[in-house]
Amino acid sequence: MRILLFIPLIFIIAVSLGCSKDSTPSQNSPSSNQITIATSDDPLSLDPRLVRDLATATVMRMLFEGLMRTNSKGILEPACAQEVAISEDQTIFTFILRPCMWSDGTAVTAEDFAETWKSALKPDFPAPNAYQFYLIKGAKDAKEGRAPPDQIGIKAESPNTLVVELEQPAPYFLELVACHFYFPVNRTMRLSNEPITGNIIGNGPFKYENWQHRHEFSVVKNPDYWDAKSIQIDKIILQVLEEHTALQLFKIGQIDWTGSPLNTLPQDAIEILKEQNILKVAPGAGTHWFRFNTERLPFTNQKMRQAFSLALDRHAIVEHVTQGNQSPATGILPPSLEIDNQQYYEDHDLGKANMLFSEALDELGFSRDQMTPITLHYTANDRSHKIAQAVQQQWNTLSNVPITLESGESKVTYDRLNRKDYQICLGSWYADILDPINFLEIFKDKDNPTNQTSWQNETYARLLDQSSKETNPQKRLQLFNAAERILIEEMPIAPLFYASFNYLKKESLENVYFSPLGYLDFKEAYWQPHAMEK
Amino acid sequence: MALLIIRKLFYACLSLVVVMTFTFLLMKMIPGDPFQQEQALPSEIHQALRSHYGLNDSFLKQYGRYLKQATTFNFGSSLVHKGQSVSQIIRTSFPNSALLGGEALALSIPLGLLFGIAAALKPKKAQGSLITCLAVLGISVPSFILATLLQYILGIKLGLFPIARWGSMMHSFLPALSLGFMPMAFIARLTRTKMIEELHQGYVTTARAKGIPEISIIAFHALRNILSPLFSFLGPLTASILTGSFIVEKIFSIPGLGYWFVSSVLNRDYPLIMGITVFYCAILLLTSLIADIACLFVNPRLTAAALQEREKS
Repeated sequence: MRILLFIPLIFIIAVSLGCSKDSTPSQNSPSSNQITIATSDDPLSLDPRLVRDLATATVMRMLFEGLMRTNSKGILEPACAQEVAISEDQTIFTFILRPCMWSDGTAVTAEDFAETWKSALKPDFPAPNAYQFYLIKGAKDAKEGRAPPDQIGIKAESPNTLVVELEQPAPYFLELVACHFYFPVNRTMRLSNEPITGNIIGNGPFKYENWQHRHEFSVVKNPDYWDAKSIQIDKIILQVLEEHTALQLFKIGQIDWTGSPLNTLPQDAIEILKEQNILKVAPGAGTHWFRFNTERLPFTNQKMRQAFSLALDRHAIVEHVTQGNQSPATGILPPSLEIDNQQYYEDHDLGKANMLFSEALDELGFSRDQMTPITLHYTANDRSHKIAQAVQQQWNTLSNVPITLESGESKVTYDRLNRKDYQICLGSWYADILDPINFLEIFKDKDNPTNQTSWQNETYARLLDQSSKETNPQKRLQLFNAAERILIEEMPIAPLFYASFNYLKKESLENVYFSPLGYLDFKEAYWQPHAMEK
Repeated sequence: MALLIIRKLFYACLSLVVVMTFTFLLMKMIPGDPFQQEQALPSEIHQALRSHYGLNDSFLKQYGRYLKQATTFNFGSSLVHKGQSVSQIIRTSFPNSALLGGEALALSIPLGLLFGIAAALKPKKAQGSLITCLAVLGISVPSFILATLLQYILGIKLGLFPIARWGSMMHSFLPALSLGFMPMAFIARLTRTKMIEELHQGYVTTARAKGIPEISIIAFHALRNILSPLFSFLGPLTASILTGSFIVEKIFSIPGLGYWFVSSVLNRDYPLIMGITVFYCAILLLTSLIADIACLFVNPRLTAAALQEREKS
């Protein structure tokens, strides 16, 4: 029994011994040339063909490189490819590869690209992004098992020449080949039946160093990278941290980056961080919106949808609720797509909203008293809950119709959304590539799983079909604008605000590219000289 | 006693099968699947993913497969953290949770006993009241409040301990304290109540009359009698503490099992849900079994029959 009494004593001694061993954890030495980033989770896979989440996309860009790469200024430039030749009809792309190496010392060949892409298109290969290859001739048929893989329009004509034939002209194809799902996978890893984990062979600016699951993932500078001389960072460490803890560690200088895209900032802290002038904001290629189920009353009526959209006070929501420097959305396409954004309607136009609401009631044959409560669905998180509460009040001033809020765990809400069992649902869309088509094609067909509104329109679909054959960028943009106008008039969705990414980074860390698509690129990153205060 | 242990083992295996069946049923009943997102996948891709991971097989076929996997404890790979097998996840995360839980227990059991005895010796004095007050506070304050408070005061303000992460013993002190505080308070309260009862028993008066020192009476006579109710409580407590606390692990960013248990359900990561549930259940049954056996050892008067009687009540 007496031994029991000694256990706390032993514990305290052990703790004190531990104290002398490691009292300042992960404190970077002043001369270190490394970056420590807070992440909310491990990379979900180290195989670029299997990755769909934004956080892992950042890791993919460290370990791999595609034919093209966006530089720190946001300009797309050749990477593994040295030159690109595009046929006049914009359907044949010929890539000449530069001499570059895998981290095991072997050469990256055109065959590596061709075979990786074809492997993702095998019917039984679990590549969630395989549909991103459907632009390539025969790719959809191959994925659906209707055509053999050799009929896919991807040919490695020589070890350094890759020819890709597309189904239709696609000026955005070069954007697409810069995405992680178009990255090559090394032959050894491609042919192995073992899952790709741990010490992987990559061709990116950094190479795998260590992975302690749910704790730390690190990469170091890849000396075999073709442009190794321009890499200034020696090591990048991703530490798995809870958002509040990450914020505290950032404040005491133990980490260099927290918040988007690998972690989140606590919603309650955003206002204070803004006041302290340390909050950084990057524009996102995304729009947050309300989806209306156009097959459920009362949103079968176009004017009703318009009334609900116009009654929204978007300024109030971005200023008082989200507070993350988002801008109110008066269209579908976010400004980060770098097109001429148009303001299609006035925000919070209550007069017009009331008028449309009355007209909608007449058209539906309802009186105000006959309106049944409307349910707004959203995923249960702090921000969505606050938005839903604010919007509930705003819509109440319009109709006096009770708005019931129903929050659900994310998978439950998505399941409901995909079954189209809802009236209004709060949601968003984030682009995979910086091209308007990525937003507009969602609503092309009511059977498209991403179009949970059940809305479709013949003219709209025709405009998008025309755009897919158009090679003139200006004319293409005009077609997109015309399509967007239809979408706004019909209003199957009520745009709320354009996305932005909130994050904190040390001031002296420069040249990290924060893509509007939501990934980071550290290839050109560096610490300001004489500012190693980290 | 051997017969009792065998019977208990048999019931444990049976419970495991029942738990697995219920887990499987519940898991399949909740809406959503691992590949469902707001940005929905084209249906042919979604179906390809589902069939690749065997989710399009018949209900019975999937159930049979899970039962078969459970016998070999090979649940395959996580559907979300691709390339990581369920057993690998448990193998790497459980030792961290177990170490943290072990430290929490090493703190809470002896300290709980000590405080409980101290309170029982002078129940009406300031010493007794103070400990009782602290024990009530310890039971009522949730671990996440305490964890945040300890992190803020001892970690951030005073800088005595690392704020978070895992590595050295120093890293584990604050989480172990947060995790162990509630059981410590509970044990202290339980010990106090039982000890007050025991100290009024006739055998204690006899021992005192014989001139046996007070410390020996408590340590060798009275304490032995209160250990058996304590062990019944310690079984499930040990299981829940060793398998990880989601909240405390999250606050201190500890790579333990608690996170996986919660995230597997949120992500609908079916193999991981099954693997962790079976593992958790096995630990729970094992610790309960050990606690029962320990009860028999500390109190031989408590026969097998009495133990069963106690179970029924």
